[in-house]
Amino acid sequence: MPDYRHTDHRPRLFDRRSFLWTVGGGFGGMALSALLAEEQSALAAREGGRRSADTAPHVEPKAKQVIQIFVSGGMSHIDTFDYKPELFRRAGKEFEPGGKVELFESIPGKIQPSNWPFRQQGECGRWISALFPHLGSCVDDMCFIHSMVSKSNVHGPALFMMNSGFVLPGFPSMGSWVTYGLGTENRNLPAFVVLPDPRGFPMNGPINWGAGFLPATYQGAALATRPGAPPIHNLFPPNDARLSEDSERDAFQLLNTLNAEHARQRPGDSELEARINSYELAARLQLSAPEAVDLSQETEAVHRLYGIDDHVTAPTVRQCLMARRLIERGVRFVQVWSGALNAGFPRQNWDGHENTVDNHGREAKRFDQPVAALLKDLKAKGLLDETLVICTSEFGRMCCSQWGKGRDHNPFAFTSWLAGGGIKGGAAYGESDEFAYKTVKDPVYCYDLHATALHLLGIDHTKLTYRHNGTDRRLTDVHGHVIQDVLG
Amino acid sequence: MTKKSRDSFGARIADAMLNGRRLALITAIVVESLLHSAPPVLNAQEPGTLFERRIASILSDRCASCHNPEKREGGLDVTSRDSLLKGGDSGPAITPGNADESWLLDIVAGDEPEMPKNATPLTGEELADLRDWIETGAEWPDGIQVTAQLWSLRPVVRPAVPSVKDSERIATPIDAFILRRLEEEGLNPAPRAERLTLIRRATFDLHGLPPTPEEIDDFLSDASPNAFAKVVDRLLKSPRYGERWGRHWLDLASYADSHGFELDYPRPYAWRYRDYVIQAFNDDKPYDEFLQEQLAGDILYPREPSAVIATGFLSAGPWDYSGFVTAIQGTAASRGTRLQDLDNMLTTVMTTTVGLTVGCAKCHDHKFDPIPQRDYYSLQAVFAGVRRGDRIIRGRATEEQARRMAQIRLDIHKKRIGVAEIDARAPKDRTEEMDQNRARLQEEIAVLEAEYAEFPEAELTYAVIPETPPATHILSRGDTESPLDEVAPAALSAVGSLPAKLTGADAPEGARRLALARWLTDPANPLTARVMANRLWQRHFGRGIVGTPGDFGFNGEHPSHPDLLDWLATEFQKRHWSIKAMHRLIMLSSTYQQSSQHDEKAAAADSGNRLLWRMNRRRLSAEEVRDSILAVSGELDLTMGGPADQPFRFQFRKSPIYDYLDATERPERSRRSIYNFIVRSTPDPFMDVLDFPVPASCTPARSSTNTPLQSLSLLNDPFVIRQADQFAARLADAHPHDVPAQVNMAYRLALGREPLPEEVDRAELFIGRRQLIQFCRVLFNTNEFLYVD
Repeated sequence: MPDYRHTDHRPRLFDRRSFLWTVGGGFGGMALSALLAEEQSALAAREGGRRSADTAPHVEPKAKQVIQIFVSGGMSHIDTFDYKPELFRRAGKEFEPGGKVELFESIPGKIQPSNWPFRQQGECGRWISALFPHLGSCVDDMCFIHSMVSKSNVHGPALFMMNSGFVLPGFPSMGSWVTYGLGTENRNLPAFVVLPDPRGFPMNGPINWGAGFLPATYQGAALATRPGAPPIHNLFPPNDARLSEDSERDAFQLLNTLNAEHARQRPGDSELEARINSYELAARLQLSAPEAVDLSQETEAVHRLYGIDDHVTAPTVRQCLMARRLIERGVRFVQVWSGALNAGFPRQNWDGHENTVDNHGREAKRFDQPVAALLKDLKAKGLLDETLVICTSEFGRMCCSQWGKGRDHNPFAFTSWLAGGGIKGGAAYGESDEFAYKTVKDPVYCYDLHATALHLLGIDHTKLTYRHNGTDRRLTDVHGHVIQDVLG
Repeated sequence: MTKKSRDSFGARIADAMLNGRRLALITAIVVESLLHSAPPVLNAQEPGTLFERRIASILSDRCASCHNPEKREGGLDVTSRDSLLKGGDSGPAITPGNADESWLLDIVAGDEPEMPKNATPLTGEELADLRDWIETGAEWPDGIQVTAQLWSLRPVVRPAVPSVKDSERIATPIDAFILRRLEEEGLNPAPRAERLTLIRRATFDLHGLPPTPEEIDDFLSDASPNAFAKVVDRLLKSPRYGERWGRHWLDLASYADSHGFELDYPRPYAWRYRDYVIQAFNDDKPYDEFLQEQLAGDILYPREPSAVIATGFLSAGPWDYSGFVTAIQGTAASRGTRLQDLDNMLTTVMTTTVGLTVGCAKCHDHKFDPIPQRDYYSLQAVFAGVRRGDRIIRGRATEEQARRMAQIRLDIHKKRIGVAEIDARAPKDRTEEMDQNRARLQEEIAVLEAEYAEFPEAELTYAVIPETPPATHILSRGDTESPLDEVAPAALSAVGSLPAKLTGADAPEGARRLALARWLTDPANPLTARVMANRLWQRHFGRGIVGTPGDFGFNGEHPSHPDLLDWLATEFQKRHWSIKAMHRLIMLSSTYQQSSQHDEKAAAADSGNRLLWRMNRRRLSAEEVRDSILAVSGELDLTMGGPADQPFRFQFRKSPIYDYLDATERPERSRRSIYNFIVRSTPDPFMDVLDFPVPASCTPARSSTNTPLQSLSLLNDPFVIRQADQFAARLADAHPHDVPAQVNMAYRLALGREPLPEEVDRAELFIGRRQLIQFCRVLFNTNEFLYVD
């Protein structure tokens, strides 16, 4: 398997030239002139470093790229990663942790331990529930943070918080900040790609990956994850005989001519040049995007590893395989969503208020094998070392039951896990109490998680700033500590 | 109603501004003696020493917020001559009589000066003054002490209009201020723009649409000396004006037609506020009244529906249905939800009106500006009883009935969710129990609807719902569970020209908002007029005199032309806060009418064009792009107002679904974009890619980006293709089988000009080979179409 990142940013001009001229769908053939200049500047950009004011990494980077897996709806840490034997002993008893218990939408029911048995896994011997048999085999590469805390117990604000560090909408998401800070390694693809759950957008909608007040250049580009759909909205014109390939090429040439004449009469305006250039980049995207998501290029063995033949796992397989292919091609930040809107029953996400066994059982079946395969695949290809994988939810769930079988939201303690670039495998950090109700050791807010991720990418989170309405805004607001103990 | 308040305000303006009323209480004083002796009038005949005229304000505005006796960053204190001589960690800051040996100059000069940190560098003029002052011995008159002073909080004093060499170019006093700075830098302004450029610029600026060929012909053939003034007047009279300028205001209000967050339900009556704003601009409602109505219209004019609708400003932002309705209330979490809600409301109001980042004082005193934490919570107390919701504007319902009606609407809404959730299931998953539930819900809905029908007829608007305000406390670190002192409603304590206290702690809800509205619109408020004058300038020139229109604090940009800003602010009040008068004033200036042509020398000296040696070129906004395409294709429907058009397929569910890509059952309308339904969670992809702002918090300035995804949308979006088709049909209908005439008409409609002969030839060749639709689509993508010179 070739390493596309090298071909993409270290130009092999002859090969790419012939590629463009021969494949040449859409406007592709016309992109060449810009391509040559582009690759020069891509080289210069690589020498020159990052987008923010600084010219060198703040700290030695351990990772170059990020895959963020967002498990939305509120994944129960109790039924998955946070092993609490005490809950088994107290099963069915009143939940009396001391102090007033206030829940999101219910009054506390009886104690309900994990619905799945826990087993020790891997060389590290971490306890993982039987809900995730495949991920259980990856624990030696994973690092668990059991002391996550959110500032909201409502999905909307909590999702915003985990994405952007703020409970209100309008702030740039983590992917936007990272691409703002590091730019891209492959200008033929968007730097920040989002792979929504094929069932639909998550709660809060696409502004979860919005650029907020950063220029729209840095917002996540959502790729279609349903099979057969063109990967990018408006990548090609609608089916229309008048807009044939030949006609498209002529149209592009005419547009270029008109824009070039217009710019010639208006010297000294780099924005006009940039806009001409953005059409060249668009033309290249028409070539590179379909190729990047063409899963038929994957081998039988890879398909088997991910479980593409199983109709339950297939949707997540598409997302995970696309993620790996995008990472291979130098996309900086890929966000993979597990969970859609609360728009019907059964719920299309991890928000198991009614019945944890049904809900988490169903969601985990979709999730477990493809995500474990992604970790294994990245590792086998040598990509895991430079790719930081972050898996998180907006909050966890309660150890007491809601209406007998479900669980309500718990923002006071939940588990996230990390893997890959610069992360200590098989480790765990922080602790929740015996009920997995509240964090009792080393609380971690999204700020700390974000600070740590930026650190691994070579960025000091206090220095990645953007001035907006009078404030030097940061992903981590005025908070955040790099969690040294999770670093490898 | 308008007349009455205008008169009283007019009288007060005249009193305060023109007679130069001095205000007794001025805290945070720059230079105490200076304030009374020398207003910042900027010309060579100014009285006072160089220090009094210039240096004191440079030190106080640009240095003293960090380098004062308390903070002493880098060991330096600039507030007295002695402390400057003593210097900081790097030794004496100045050597009187020897500028070259004074490191103070080194760190503020150069291409990327070290100081002021994270702020606008000093201007060439300021540097020269500083140098002169040191060279001539750094004289510091006795009795003058410099303290940190925020320039924007100083009372607005009308400066004299400066004299300039090239008086030929002065069309309005604005030009004198601009020209004087250019002459100082040895730069020439650009020549007057061509007429075609001018009418295109003015039409986009005021209408957000291209001029029609007939409008262009009229202007080009009008030989009268006031031809352009006639164009401006015509544009200001048209209702298209409010549709363009109202939208700027909606950016500030963060207006949308849905709540946002997880359960992003529509706000079916929000549009009345949008229409109110459009109407207010079209009516040229005086800005002070406009603000008063939006803050407290329901209190000032309770019987006037439009005044109640105006309070939609306060409710326009996001609102978390799940946090307020689904979640159990009375918990710590729900108090947190409410705190965020109030924070968003108060931040939007204050950023919009006075351009200060008050929200930064929620957890602690503002780090840069003189806004203590107490001020933040005192302002929050103003809004403590404000809830967002549907309010009755017409009808005879009593308050109690209105409350019951609101409860019924919410109950019906919840039950409809239940029905929709069951309906969304595949038939095979439907149990008998669900069917029974569904039937029960339907029955309950019918009962509630019957009850509702018994109430008097009522028209609704999404606006302020007042309730009895709870006590407001300062919150330690912004934590609702750590309350400190109780506070009463008050405005900003640092505005010395006005008392900060608004009402008592037990004042009724409406009295609080009214008091803040009066504080904001008091002629003695130094911020309100400056901030709005700057916004008007920004919308005409692409950037404000203060480049950070949402931040007039220490961390914001310093005004490029402080005297011009103050002159505009006084002029705005003098003209009874008439926004249209300000448009005329600005647009009839030579500064506005100059060309956008490049100049090597000027660009080398001032690459950002802060001195306005030319007009700024700009890309059309998202709405302008869409509206212009519709106008050119002939499809634009100019029907105004009413419920929003939905450019998506809507499915009512627990989390409602807005699908822009699915065209089935989607009503197709081609009205102006301001009438499109704005979904907070799910932006319209076509508008989004063209930098339509996120309606989450106040957006004082949009970004303007160029991305490949934007190019792809402009090329391939079904909307563009459909309109290119319409445009082609329009051309073919007008000139059947006459391609050169079609090309000519296409150029005139889309670009406002006749094509050159070689352009006709080229287009004819292209259309012969390909199709007219392709040609039309290319025109929509040209920079000439998408940019205004």
